[in-house]
Amino acid sequence: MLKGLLRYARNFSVSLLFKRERNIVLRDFFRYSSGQKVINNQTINPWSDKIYNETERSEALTKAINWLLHSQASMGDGGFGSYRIITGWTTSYPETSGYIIPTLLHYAEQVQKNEILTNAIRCGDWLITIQKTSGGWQGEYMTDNRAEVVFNTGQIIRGMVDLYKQTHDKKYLDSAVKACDWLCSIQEDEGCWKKSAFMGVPRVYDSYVDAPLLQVYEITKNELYKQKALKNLNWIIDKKQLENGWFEDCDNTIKHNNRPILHTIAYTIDGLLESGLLLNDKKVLDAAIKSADKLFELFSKHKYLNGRFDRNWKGSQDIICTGCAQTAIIWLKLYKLTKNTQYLNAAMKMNDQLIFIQDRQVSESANTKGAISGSYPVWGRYEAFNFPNWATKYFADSLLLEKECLQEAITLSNTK
Amino acid sequence: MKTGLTTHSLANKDFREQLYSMLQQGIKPDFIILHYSGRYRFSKALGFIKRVLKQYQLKSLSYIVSRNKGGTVPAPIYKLSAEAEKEVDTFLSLVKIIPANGINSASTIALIKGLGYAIIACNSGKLNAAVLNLSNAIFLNVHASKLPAYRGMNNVEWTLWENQDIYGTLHRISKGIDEGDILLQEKIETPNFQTIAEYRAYSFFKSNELMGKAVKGYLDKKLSFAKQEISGKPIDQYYVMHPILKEYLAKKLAGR
Repeated sequence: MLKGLLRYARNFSVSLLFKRERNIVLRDFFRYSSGQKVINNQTINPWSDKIYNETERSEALTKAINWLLHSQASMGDGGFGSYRIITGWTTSYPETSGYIIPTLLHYAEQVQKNEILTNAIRCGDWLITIQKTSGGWQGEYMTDNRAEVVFNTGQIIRGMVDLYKQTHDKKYLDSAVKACDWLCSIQEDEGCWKKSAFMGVPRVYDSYVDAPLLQVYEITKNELYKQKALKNLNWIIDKKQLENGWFEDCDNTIKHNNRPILHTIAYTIDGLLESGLLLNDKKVLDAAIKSADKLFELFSKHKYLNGRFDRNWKGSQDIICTGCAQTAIIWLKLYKLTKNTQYLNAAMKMNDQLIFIQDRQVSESANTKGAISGSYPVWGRYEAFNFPNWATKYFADSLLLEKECLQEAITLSNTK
Repeated sequence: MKTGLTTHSLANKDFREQLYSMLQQGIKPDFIILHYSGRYRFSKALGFIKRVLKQYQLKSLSYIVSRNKGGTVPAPIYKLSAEAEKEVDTFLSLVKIIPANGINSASTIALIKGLGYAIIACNSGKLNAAVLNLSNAIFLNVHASKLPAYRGMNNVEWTLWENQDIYGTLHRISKGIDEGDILLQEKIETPNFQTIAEYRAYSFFKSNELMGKAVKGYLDKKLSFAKQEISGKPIDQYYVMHPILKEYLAKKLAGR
């Protein structure tokens, strides 16, 4: 507790010393405190009524991608790092670098910017060089020099699969297959991962590992990948999902496992959803929809989503931006699946809030311009005073997907 | 059984249209509950401040107060004819108008309790459980869309977005949003309008016209309440339409 307070005091005082950092913190202070509103007898904090038009949304996407590219350029090895207001750039983060690849490829395709492909390839090639002999990839940032971790490995497979599909270069598929073999070799009999899991405990957000396993199954038709993914999915749904859609063992800490963060809740739901779509499995899809609809209900009622939720879906902690973007992505995928425009409508409102968070309207350096902070306000508990690359990645994904869904919805509305 | 209406203003457009439709059906409501909502009181207070400011020629301050009132309200596109308005005014000069506090206040609840059995056309916003639990009163709401398909907000817009027919629905007010039993539901034949505002105005105008028919049908025992089949899932109702979607809807209508 005391340690945390001292860290906060240090972060606040250091950030206020430098003009640009001070601008960011003060800007959040003023807009956060002036954004309080009372809705349904509850003090909602923060709340923004700001609506962004399509041009502003495109600009927000461009700014986000530019920041990601700046992050890669700042690393030097091909990976992507995060920016911390107090200590500057981190080293590359293999896991998130892996799943940033699909974002770049998606963006390159949508805006017809083929040169971005080289950034994705550069990242993929670097990831191959740091793949462990086991087939897994290390956890956390490069400087942390950790052992291979299940979840992190799964996310890099995503990048490898997309690069293989894009370039047809077999080295990416070989790398993904090697990683899948390792994942399958260490899965527990009951279907979860304990060995080489982050913190050494099983977690339900490994559903987000099942989806890339299934992606590789689709290419290789190796039944083992499908079996292992299904085993994990069934373990999650049968043993860990409550009737109200909440998940046990969903947090990336031991201490707060009774109220997981939206970030890992969204990983879990998205993993179920992607897997359900790949398998065309109703049970898995229904499990994803159950939890996604609960978040939809909470967002519709309170107009924003908290950072953490307990087993009764009672929210606490400030906004965790990455979780919000991930939730919007889930709703957009559900729009594609169900054609229910309410999912799209809610995702667009969520993206308005995220653009508002990105749109700080202060003089910023390239190190923060266009980036999404870990929390809103920037000093919130999750990734305090930091701009983790995954928050900006999911924000960009959400805007990319929103554009496609919007076009689809307009076409559908005009032709029905 | 008695018949009545509630409103926070005798000038309220929906209230007058519903009253006129009742008169057209030969129903002369027994009472009108005129209650003062918080918003009404606020607007009265604002009016007073504006007058004071004007008196002291503080025009700039007067402008700020005017701006904060929430913008200008567009003139109604569809409205009662001058003759109909006159008929409504004549009736209002004869009918028993009961002044009351807010619709959910204890005094108003006691007042309604004392009225005996009644079917009431309600133009009073959200009713709380204490009012809805009154066993002697049925509160009717006008919903300008098909139920249970289009529950919630911006239902005319969503109906148009999905290229469906517009309906007028008279239903009993219950705890859930637009979930109450349906008394009357009829398709509204809309001309090919080019704006959302026209569709909305026409749909509500036509839906209000159904009030008289619904109340008469109920009193004559020709209509009865039918339960709605509702999933209860929040995703199955409609929410405020995002302005970008609204913009595309407007373009679609304009291009017809």
